[in-house]
Amino acid sequence: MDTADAADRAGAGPGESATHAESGAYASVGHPVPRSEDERHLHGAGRFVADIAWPGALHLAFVRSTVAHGVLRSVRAPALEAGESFWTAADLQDIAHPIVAKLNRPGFQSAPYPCLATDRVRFAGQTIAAVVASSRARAEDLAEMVEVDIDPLPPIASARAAFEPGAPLMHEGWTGNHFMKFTRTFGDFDAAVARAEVHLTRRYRMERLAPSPLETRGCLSVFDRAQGRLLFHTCCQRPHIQRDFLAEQLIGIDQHRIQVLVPDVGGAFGVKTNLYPEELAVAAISIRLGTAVRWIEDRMEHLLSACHARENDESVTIHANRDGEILALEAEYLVDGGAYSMLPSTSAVEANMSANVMPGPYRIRNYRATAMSACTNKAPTGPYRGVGRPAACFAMERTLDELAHVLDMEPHELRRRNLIAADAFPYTSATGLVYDTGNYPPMMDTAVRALGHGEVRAAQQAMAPDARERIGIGYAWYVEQTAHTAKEFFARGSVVLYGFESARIRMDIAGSLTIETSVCSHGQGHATTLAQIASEVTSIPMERIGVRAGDTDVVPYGNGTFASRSVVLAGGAVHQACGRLVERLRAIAANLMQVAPDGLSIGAQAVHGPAGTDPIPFARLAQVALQYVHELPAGIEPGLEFLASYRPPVETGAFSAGVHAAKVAVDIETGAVRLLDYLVVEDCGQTINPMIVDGQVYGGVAQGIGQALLEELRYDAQGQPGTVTLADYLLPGFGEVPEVRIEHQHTLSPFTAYGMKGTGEGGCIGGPAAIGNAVTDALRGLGVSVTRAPVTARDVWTALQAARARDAAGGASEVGAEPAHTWMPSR
Amino acid sequence: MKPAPFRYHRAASLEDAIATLASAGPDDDVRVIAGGQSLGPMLNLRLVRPTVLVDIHRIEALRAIEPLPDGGVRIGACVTHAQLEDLPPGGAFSAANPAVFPAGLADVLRHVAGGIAYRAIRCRGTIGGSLAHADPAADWPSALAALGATIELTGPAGRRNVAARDFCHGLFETAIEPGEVLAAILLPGSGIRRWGRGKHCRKAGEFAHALAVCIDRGGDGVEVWLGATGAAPVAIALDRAFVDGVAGSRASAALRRTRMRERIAASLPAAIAPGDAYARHLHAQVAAEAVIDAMANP
Repeated sequence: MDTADAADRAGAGPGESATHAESGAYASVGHPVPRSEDERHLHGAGRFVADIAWPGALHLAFVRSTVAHGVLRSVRAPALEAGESFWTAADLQDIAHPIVAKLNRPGFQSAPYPCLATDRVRFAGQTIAAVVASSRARAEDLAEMVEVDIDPLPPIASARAAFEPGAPLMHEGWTGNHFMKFTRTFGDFDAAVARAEVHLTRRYRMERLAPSPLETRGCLSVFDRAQGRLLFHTCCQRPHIQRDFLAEQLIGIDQHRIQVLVPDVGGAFGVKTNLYPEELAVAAISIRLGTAVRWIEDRMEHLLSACHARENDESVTIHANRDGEILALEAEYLVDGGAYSMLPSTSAVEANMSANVMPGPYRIRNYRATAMSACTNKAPTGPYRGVGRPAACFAMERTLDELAHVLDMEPHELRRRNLIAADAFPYTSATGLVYDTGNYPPMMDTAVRALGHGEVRAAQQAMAPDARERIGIGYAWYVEQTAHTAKEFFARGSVVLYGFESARIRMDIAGSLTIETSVCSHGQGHATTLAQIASEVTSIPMERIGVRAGDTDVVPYGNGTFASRSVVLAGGAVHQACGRLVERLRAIAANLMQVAPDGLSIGAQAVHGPAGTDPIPFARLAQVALQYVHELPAGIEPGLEFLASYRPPVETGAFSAGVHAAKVAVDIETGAVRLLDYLVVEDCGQTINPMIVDGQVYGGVAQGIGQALLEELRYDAQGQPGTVTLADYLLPGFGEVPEVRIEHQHTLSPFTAYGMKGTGEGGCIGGPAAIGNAVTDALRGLGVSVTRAPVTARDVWTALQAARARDAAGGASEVGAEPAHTWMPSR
Repeated sequence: MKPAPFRYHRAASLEDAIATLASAGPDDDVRVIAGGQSLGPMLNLRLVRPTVLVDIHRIEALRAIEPLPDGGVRIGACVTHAQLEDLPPGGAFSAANPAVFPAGLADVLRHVAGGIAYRAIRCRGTIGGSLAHADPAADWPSALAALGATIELTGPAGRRNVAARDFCHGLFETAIEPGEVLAAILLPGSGIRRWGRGKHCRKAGEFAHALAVCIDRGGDGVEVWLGATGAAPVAIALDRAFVDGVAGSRASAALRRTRMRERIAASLPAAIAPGDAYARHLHAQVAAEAVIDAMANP
């Protein structure tokens, strides 16, 4: 393992000062250590669920609804051959409860989501039946032969239609077609509005997205008759939570008889936090058959039925003074949540999160938020990297640029005027979020300088009046709540409270180390990051530290990887457990040296005593702890296994922040947008591995560019999906993602180990807003502004035509504007 | 995502392929597969459900690029896009065949082939397969029509030739009769004075939303061929004096493009994207770019 140059180390936090890495013997915290995971993936030697061979495993295919809404009259089995089976809801009702996702918030409405449809289908793609055969191809042949009789009902194909008078009720016993809706007011809102000199209202839409990990969903469920146990191999983010859910849903199998095993996971982004009807059906059927059953989702199934996200219509009003000070903010979010709530985040997660985080990095004390999550005949929505924040950022940052234009200010000046001051931390936002630390104004300066703001303005001035390509720049700010725990989730009404993460550290007799972690990497490089922390604490080199995860029989209980929490919480647990190990090793060494443990130091895999004495290698101490116990005094417990479950002292989270800056060229003849430059200025405190942090940013930015320019799931008025292959649902490729530049700032968290903060989601939050602002900046002189993400060439060109048509009257035009987007249903 | 069951025959020769097609029963739906880059996904999505699949991609005779006695070039149906992308500039056909590939033609083929999808697809996808599949948004139908190619079809009754401009009849519809195999593409070797191309995709590698090729062979008129129109490629003929007038004008580039676009828009068939102002604009825009690009070439 290479030891990086000290100059490459990020930051200047407490983690920097007294490290073993100074000796150059091994790499540790703050070093861009190459990822230990990469070799196997680059050699194609990774092992994903679909790679797991299991003798005799059968293949399952689902029969899915082809209509958006209807009464399920009958399902007729195909002609089966020996060893094949056919399953409907009736076959599973006494082994699996329907999934019911709940939120402990007033007015939240829940409904059962059966693993196979019972009497009604509520979206095109919903599972109706399953067939099991010896190959996937045969299972698909059989699935095709299943006869399904559905009486179509009028579909609800948009959030607005859900609230139309006379709309059919989506679920029995509901009081309207909403999962949840609320309005909350913070501060002295009305008085602030009355004081304001400028009132600016804008409306936006962020389209429905498919999170689209490289690896789709999939599982191999094995009922092991010898042990009477269910071995559930799956690709998920939270093995223990998944096991909790399976035990709760499956009837007649106690939790200790369920083992969840997660091999390599090829991306998840929140999609794999849910328990899906498909997964539950596969588990139930494998128990019933007493055998192994495999379901590997294909891309069409993924686009039809895996968790969708966003589809967030927004209305924003900023009330400000003429000098740019924001006095009050009002935001309305209307989200098309789809037909059912996902377990456990529910379909209310997007709108609620948007409403909660909207004020972002700005000093806004007077705020009114409305969040409405509609129930419609589309696939369910749920958490996708960023959850609610890309939409909130899009609405807030786009409107700030509009305000700057009205006030004739530079957008970055307006932002500076409203950023939370560096001395205001810890800062409690209007909605009650507690920002631990931050230092925002210098980040704005960095962005303006690094993007070359002044040069772009000069180039815009110098541009020929009929230039084909117009350049523009845009900024977008966000704060990212990370590593928040039980109290925070309780406050949001979450039924599952994610309070801690765990690590078990085992030193073996050779002095090498194994970490068993409760978090579950789906590409984040935990095996590297966690080993770096262990290496930092123990002085053991990286290559002597193994990391195990993703097996509920092996790893200690914890909640898994989501909500930008793993480095802080699992890293905190590793930090604690390693501290205990070091304490034990010092005690053993002190006894052997016959000195007090206080003066002993750790370094180069040995405990060092007073000057003149020989250091004792860890391997020798391990031998005493594990084998030569006769050398161990009675007061020291044998063994070298340490479990730490880390609950942070502050449960409201460590707040990272970022500003994205985009420079674009817009072709006014075709409407096409080309990214010329993309800059991220980010602050996630102390970085453990700056290269992995950069990787998180790059990947997130690619997803942000996707939602800014390309990605859009379309449904027609009948609720029929129009984007079921990747030829229709456009994901960014490397041709669409420029070389992203990253500038780091390190404002440490006061309560985490090393001052680190999470950084899993920020990369994908700023794209639509920064690019939307840049396109608007480019087209400002032509009277066009962006109101919809993605910003398509068609929308840009159409808006330019409309602006030209209105030019004589001095009108302006909005990219993506449609009449349907201009009203919000009554609350 | 697995295809519906079918019988698979890997043809050893063109004769074998034709015989297999001929032996199909009355209830059989026989499809020929070459690189499989379009047919493969359609099979997996069960959008096509042949009962018999005849695979011709191993037929060596269909993978050759050869000079013709008249100075033209014969490209076997199973020549991949990548082979054409990699044509040596102005060089010999191969080490074994020292005849020189017509330079202007090689430039066009390289450019068109290199713009198809991604390299991985170009390494398997074939020129003949793309043409026979006749997806209107594909690159070859309009390019080969513009190049004045002739399509060689072989069937039980022997060989016949169809002009590329008459080959595509519409969406996935061609002049290929049941029992016939597209065997080769014949290209005239000389006469390309200047050429230009326009293409609009939302992302790199995507099927085009507008596509145009302009080959200038001198003469009184200039023809620009439009692809991605939803049906067969469409030719728009422009008057030489008009084209020269625009190309030689001192007006700004934007103004020259506008004049060319408006002229082409006036000739754009009403059947192309009716009611869709943006799509029609884009076709005219991209065609104008192809013409102006051609005129800018020396």
